[in-house]
Amino acid sequence: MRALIYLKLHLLKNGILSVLTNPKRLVFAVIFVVWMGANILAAITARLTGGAAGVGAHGLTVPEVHLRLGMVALLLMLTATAIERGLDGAVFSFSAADYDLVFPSPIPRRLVVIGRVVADALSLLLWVGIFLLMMLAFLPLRWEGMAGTPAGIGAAWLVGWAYAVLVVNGARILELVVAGSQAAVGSAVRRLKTTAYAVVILAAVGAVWAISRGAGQSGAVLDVLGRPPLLVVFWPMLSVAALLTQQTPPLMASFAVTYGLLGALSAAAVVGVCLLDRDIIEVTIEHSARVSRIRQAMRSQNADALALERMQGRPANQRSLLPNWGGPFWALPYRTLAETSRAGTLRVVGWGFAVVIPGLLATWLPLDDDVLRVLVGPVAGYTLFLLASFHALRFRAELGHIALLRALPVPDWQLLAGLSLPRPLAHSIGVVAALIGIGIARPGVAPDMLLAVAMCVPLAACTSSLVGAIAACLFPEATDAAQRFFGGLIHVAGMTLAFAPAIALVVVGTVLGYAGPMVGILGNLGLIPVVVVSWLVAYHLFRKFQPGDE
Amino acid sequence: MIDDTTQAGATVPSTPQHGQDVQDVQDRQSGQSAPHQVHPALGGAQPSPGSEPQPLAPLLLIDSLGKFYRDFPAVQGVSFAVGPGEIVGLVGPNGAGKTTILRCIAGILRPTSGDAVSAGYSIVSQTAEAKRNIALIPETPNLYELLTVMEHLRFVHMAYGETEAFEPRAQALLEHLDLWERRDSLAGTLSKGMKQKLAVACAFIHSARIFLFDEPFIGIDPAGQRAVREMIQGAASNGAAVLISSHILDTVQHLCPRVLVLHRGVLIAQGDLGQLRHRASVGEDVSLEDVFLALTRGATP
Repeated sequence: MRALIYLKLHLLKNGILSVLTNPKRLVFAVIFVVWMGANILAAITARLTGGAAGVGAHGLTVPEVHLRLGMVALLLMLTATAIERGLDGAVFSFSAADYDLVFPSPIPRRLVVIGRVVADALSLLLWVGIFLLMMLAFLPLRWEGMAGTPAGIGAAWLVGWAYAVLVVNGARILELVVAGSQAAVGSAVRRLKTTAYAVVILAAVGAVWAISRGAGQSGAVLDVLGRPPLLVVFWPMLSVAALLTQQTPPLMASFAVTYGLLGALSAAAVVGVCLLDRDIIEVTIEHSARVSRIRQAMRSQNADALALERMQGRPANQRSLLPNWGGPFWALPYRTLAETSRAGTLRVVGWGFAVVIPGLLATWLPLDDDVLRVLVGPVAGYTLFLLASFHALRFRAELGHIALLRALPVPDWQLLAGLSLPRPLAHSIGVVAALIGIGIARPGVAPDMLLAVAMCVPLAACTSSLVGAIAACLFPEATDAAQRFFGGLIHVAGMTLAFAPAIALVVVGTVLGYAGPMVGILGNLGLIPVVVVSWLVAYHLFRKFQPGDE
Repeated sequence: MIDDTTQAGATVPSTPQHGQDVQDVQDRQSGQSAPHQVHPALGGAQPSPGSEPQPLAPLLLIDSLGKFYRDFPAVQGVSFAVGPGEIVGLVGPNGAGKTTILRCIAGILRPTSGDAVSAGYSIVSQTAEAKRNIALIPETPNLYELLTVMEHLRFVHMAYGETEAFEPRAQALLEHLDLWERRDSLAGTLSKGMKQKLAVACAFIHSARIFLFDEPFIGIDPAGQRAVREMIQGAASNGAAVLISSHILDTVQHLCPRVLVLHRGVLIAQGDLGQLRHRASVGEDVSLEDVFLALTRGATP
């Protein structure tokens, strides 16, 4: 025990020191602390002055029943994800160092597991607290539920924590039990997973459908979820959501029984994990090794290694989804599609959700059409910006094996096109689909504006990808922190410059009151010369690029 | 088909290696750190003073060890023994089960069948006691990136419940491995070779009697390789049992008087180089590499 405490304390001490002595990490830490402090201050100020803060200050209110249903849906998704990971044997993971230094030592395994479960529970306490602060910051405080009072915040924190501990350790028990008898329960696991997905999707679709028809329907959904036999499954989620949204504190007796039971279940889950530790190391070793490799790949920004990890363990029938078509020109797009097709069902479902979610949010969020119209452009631009970082990462990884690619019978311009354009174009299709979703969900939002943004998205995505390729060619070494920093700087600065003409033209067109298609054409007129210049610069650098230039 | 040389304990030397005196080794075995309860597989008794000199009991005894990963048999029915002062090589193609065997012996993995008895303690039923006598040096040095070199040694020293003074031992080890100057550096800042050396230092900071090396020389500079080789030989001459898994057959040939050949989870041969040559039906002057290729190419476990 002494050795484990020594280990944890020194890891913590050195971790804090490494943040304090590293300027880059320190800046992020300071920003995070200031942000959290500001949230707390805003919440306290709002409480003291009796006024509203955060988004609520702008006069937005959310009906309590919507909040409660939204929270149930969120908890349901988190729970389903935890269960899915538990069935996949991917909840518990230890570091590679633990395997080499702790597990071969005479320290009893049970002690190691107990230490880990306790440490994780404390970590969950912290994260639930941060989540609550974020809620207080972003949710309209004009709504005065339990979470609006200090006692309510404290109670919500404890209840949320108990729920998180229950879900995480419940999933761990599932992982240990299933992994111990994998052969026997293999098909049952598949059925369970399918059922879990189906429940989540049906619940999400049902909730959105109900919400779109007003608060009364939302209440009806909550009523249904709160009746037996569904209550057995949804009771913990409903309890947590009720505590957070209750206008008046519940009756003491009911409060004690309900949340006492939740606490007891959480404690039982913790004890269950500690008692089931017999094969815990073997169950987790494969996943832990994978987590370790993923962390290593992320640290060194190795996109290839990350993609490889994603593909590991995919069924064989996902390895030949694409027909063998086309000549050398299509080789790279083919490869991109082949890689994408192996991303796994969950990821594909995730992408589907990402496309649908903007439409759902547009339906759900009580934003005025005018506000939404103003937000659409910046949000689409920000999405492209995020995707551009991913494209730059991929391109840098491709440069790592440029010698192999150059050996292909494909000219340089086709190589550059194949490496830099298919992904942004595919992603821009997703963004356009999301915009169409918003248009369908909120007919009040001017379709002209959506059309204008949608028209600009493909060229904007190609521009950002090409600027990323330029940055990658100039600073190709992903493992060098300085090169990563300057590459990122060039990328951001380049995109800002590249988008400036298009943004200026779009603003001018909007101010002059042009129709959506005309604004879109103006935006593209601003983007076309930038795409051409970016292409020429990227092509020049790409042709000159030699492995080892770094 | 396995020949006689693969029987557990058959080749445990009846005399210590490297000029070690028999009584010295026996004294060490029956010293203060000797186990209170000896595993039945070892006969359950230590030689009493004044009795007839007996063949030394193996420090490490692997008895019908098997390990399945779900339905896949990684290791099946492996039996062998390593005596005090003995250095034994473990060779085999990729996926033969070498690392699995080392992990089972070290107590990281639980054997599906059979047992590994270390210094008289079963890894299955007397896990903590067995582990206290074992040091594992893994192929890839996985360390805590946010722990310094000295803190690693201190942690391992504490984890094994060592009572011997820490500072002088740690300093001697780090100086020998040329790591003393980096004692306050975080492991995350070390080169791969230095990390490997630190992993070796962690293994030697406690009083292990059985050393398990998994590719100990990969990534280490020539001076470091020599230092590690000296440490291995030093441990053996002090009566420790050493098992080295490696693909570098030249090193194995020169360092290990006895070699175990593993193929697809099954021990297909063991013995000294002469016995292995005989087993592989090759000439008297062929290297271990040729013997290995001959044995594994035609083997049908």
